[in-house]
Amino acid sequence: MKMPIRISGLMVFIAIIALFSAIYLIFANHFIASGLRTTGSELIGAKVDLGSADLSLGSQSLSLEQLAVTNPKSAMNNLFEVEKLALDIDASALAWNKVVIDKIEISELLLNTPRATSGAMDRQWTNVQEWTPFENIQDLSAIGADKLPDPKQLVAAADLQTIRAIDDFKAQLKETETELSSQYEQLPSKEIIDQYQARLKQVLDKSGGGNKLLGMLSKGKDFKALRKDIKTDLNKIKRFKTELKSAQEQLGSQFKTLKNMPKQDLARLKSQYSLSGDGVSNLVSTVFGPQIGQWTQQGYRYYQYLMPIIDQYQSSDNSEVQESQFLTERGRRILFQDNVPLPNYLVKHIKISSANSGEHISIDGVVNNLTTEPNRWNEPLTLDLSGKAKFLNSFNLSATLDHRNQAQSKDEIRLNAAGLKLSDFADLAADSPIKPSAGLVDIIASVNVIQEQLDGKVSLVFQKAEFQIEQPDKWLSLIKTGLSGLETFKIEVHITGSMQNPSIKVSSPDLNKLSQQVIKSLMSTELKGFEDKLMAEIKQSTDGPLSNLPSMDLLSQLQTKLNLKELDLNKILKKAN
Amino acid sequence: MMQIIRLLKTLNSDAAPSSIALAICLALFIGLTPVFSAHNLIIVLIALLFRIHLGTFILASFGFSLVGLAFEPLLERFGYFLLTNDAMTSFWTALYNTQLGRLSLFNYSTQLGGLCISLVAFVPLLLVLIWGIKSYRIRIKAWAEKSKLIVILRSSSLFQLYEKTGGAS
Repeated sequence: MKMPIRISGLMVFIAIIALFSAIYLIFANHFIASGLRTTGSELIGAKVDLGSADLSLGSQSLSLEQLAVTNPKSAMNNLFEVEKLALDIDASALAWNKVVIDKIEISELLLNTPRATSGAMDRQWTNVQEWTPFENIQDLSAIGADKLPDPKQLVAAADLQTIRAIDDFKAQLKETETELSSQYEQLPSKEIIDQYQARLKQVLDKSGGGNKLLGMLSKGKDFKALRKDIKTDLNKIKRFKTELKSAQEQLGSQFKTLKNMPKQDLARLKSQYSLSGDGVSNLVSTVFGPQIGQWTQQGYRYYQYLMPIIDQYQSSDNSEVQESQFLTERGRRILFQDNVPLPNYLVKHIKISSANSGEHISIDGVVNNLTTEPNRWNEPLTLDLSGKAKFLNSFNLSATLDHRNQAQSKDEIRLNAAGLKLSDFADLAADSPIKPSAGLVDIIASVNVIQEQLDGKVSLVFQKAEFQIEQPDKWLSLIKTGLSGLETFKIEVHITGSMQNPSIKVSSPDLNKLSQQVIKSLMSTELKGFEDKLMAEIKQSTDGPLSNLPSMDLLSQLQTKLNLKELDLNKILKKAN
Repeated sequence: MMQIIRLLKTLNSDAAPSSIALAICLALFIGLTPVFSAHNLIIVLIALLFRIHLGTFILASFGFSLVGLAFEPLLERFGYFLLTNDAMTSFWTALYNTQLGRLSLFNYSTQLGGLCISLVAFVPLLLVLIWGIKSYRIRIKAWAEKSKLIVILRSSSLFQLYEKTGGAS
């Protein structure tokens, strides 16, 4: 009877396994390189080039050389280029179908390098939300003279202060005249003065009844009584004169003011049609908005590139059975609750170093805890990168992206870039009416994204900035000249809102001041014409009422009458002494 | 044509019915599940290690691959039904959290559908095939050898060439 086991079969099996292993080992590097090119290209949406891959099973490491990843937004440029990339792989995690890389050393990383051939692919990024900052930028022509109204309509609709003041003056004059006339009636009348005259004559004619001494004593007593009465009346007249004088002065002053009121009306109406603070702010946005918007958008876009990678599996709840969205030859992949405390993809530590070529952006620094499932790893993603470039003296980017708890995600990004050469950023300002041609800018940015809510502040400090304008424009010419005169100026950008609907606000006290000067200078001609017409309309409305103002003759007449009364009384008083 | 001749040759040979039946049943796994799967390595090892008719195994593997291709949507749906069945979630979860489970890729619908169908069909098919081969040899073999079809096949130039190259045993 034959043995149930075929020893030769076992040998054949071992031989087959050995053959497959040998083939794999021989072609492993080729398979890995090919796989990385294909997968990387599909993931990025643009061509990924790789010179060679070298797998070492003994040291559990993989070395990649000459890796170049095309910028999906610019097919003739690489997003980055790496001369050598060495990976230390955690083999134990592979048994769990997880890719854990303990360390990646990236040597000679260069950013934004040109490509000899196009790296374009059919697939495009679809998950990047395009955002247009400053959608409602005010057109330059909308600011200023075009907004000046018809002076006639303006005056007709306006509540002129001159007319109101004339009415007030008339009312007050009438009231004063009534009041003073009433008071005047209380003063000694002509009859009283005549009585004083009669009393004086009577006293002078008094004989004393034969007794000379008694006669003198009696006369003295009468004189004293007369003097007292006259003095009392003179005091009344004096007080009244003071009051009259005060009223005359007050009304006289008002009368003079009324003559100048049309000018005040002109100033008031003109000020309503000068540029407001908002207008000036819009001007800053109009001139620098597109440029700043492009820069902010670029940063926003990079952040969005990163987020889907970080949160690839984040939307799934590990406690539930999840169905993958893609079909493979093995069918749909169903994910169950994963109790293995490791993310599917994790890179614990990345060390980046660059050759200082001077031609491209060079970066040095570290990135830690880069994973597709931050909720399954106990450390947040951190990065600390610094570098320089031909167009930039130095930069430092540090960030902590904490997505371990999606509901409480917190990202902190700090960027400090010093000495960006403005001339190299003219392309980024394609939509801007004014383009930088020389000078430097320092960028200090601090952006926090807490639970999808943005709160960021970016300060741009321009130094010796020169600008050029492509199409001649009177506004821009003045702004350009004004900017050239500024040694430094600062623009602050405040980013708020949600990730889905961000908004940015630009402000700059330096530029506001400059803008106001420019506007003042530019609007002077338009405003002068407007001012003349407006003044003519105001005069037409106020000249009539002003020329028909009531006189203050009554008060003058009262003054004259008072003087006469005073004179008469003083005469009697003098005789009574 | 060659495959049919070869199959008839095998059936008519002295090979044990169980050896032929087992070869066909093991081929079921190869045919109904993706070839490069961990369990197929074990299937190949069994096929080589035990005295199983290798010719039949290879032939049946090709045959079942065509069947698997035709029924792939059904296998996928069956696997999906099993994987998403609430009553089985705890079992799949436990399996998913073992290294063997992860390496088996059981959590792919087509893979699990094909594997389960193969496992379920294995024993009944084995018994049916053993009975069938035995019955063939007793009842049909003599008649078939004399049948016109076989005579024509045997006399064909292709068969002559096949015999000359030692293909028929």
